[in-house]
Order: sequence, then C-alpha cells, then structure tokens
Amino acid sequence: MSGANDDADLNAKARRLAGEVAELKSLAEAFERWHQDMIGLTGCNRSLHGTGEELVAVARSLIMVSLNAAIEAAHAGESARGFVVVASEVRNLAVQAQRLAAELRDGLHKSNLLAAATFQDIQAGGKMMMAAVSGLGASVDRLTS
Amino acid sequence: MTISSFTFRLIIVFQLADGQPTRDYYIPGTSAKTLDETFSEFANMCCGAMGRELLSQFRHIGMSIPYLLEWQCAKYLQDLSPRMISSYDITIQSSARLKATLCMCCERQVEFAASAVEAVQSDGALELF
Repeated sequence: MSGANDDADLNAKARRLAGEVAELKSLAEAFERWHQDMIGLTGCNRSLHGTGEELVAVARSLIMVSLNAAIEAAHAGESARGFVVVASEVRNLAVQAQRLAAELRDGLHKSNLLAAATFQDIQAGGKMMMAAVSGLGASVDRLTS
Repeated sequence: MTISSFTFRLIIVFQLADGQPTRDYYIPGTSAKTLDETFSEFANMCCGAMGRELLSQFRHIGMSIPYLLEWQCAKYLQDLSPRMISSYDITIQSSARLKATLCMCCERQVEFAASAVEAVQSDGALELF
C-alpha cells in the first residue's frame, strides 16, 4: 500500500515539475524581447554615428574657415588685427570640437561593441538555457510516462 | 557572433575586405542579396559548425545570431577583458580576403581534451597573427 502511495506522490511531483518546465519554455519570449531591444539600440547607435560624422565634418570645415579668415585678416593689415584674434579663437574652438567629435565617434564604436557582446551573450545564453530546459522536459516526460 | 556556455563566451569577429574578389566569392551571379546578408549567412554556418564541435566537449552551448558592426569596433575587444584573443588572416581562392578574430572570455581556465583532426586541404591560406 505504501508503495502505491509513494508512486502516486512521485507522479504528482513529476507532473508539477513538468508544469514548471513548460512555463520555463516561455523564457523564449523574454529573449525575443531582448533581441528586439538590441535591434532598437543598434539603430539608435547607428543614428548617433551619423550625427558624430556630421560633427567631425563641421569641425573640419570650421578649421578651414578660420584659417581663411586669418589669411584675409592678415591681408587686410593693422585695421583687422582684432579680427585675427577672433579667427584664432574660432580655430582653437574648431580644433577642440574636432577632438571631441573624434572621441565621441570612438566612444560610440566601443559602446556598440560592448552592447553587442552583452546582448549576444544573453541571446546565446538564452538558447543554451532553452536547450537545457527542453532536455529537462524530455527527462520529466520519460519520468511521468 | 557569440557562442556561450555557462563558464565562457567565445566571441567571433569577421572582417571582410570589401572589393570585387570578395563580392564575386560570396555573392553568386544571380543572387539579389547584399554582401552583408550573404556574409551573415556564411558567418552563421561557420559558427554553427564551431558550436557543434564544442558540443562534443561542453554539454550546454548556445549561439547568437550575427550582428553587423563598424570595423572600428574590433579595436575595443580588449575592453571585454578576454583571456585570449587570436586573429587569423584568411585568403580564399587566392583572392577573397577575410580576417577572423577569436576572443575567449572566461573567469577561470577552460579545460578540455580534443583529438587533433587532420585539416582538409583546400584552396585557401590561413595566417595567424
């Protein structure tokens, strides 16, 4: 009699385990959601890259404009001395902007790699866990059959 | 792409030399796919083969899908604190060039025993650097 009760108890536990394994399979939805988040983040970073490249181009043009302004001011002579100072300051700021734009671009590349590596690890890890859960489910099915 | 197990992740980075030899190799004449699309499928197959080999040593393995990044991102692989990075310059059919970088991240040493398999000689060259 106690043997039959033990079997019934074991079966009940195995069925509960099977139910929990079935719920774990819903993890796939969470991984899909994170994958979509990554696609959104990658798109956002790509857009930031575009902005960064434009900033680099603007900074480069500013440097050229300030150099031309300094040359014109030098041609204009003594009366344009104040303008030479302004052109020089504009050039300094443009050089600084160019450096910052380059740092931004480098920072975005690094950020892209770190984000991609993290999300890929989550994605790969998720598939690994789903495979492990499926294997567990198969074992539980054999137990309950 | 990333192949992950509980105790490690293996990041595989492919960099293509984009030119006509590369396009001729990866994109068949009648295909409407872009180089990015075709190469992503190729990368998926490569990493799938690697994953299957790793399964013989590690019971739980998962693989990501490929993501496309700018080539400059590869400079920052060291920021992932890897235990090992190896790069290979590969030439296929004397024209299509490809760089493959393997980046192994793990908290402790990963031990396994694998039997050496004789490589199938085909039309290509591999340089390790």
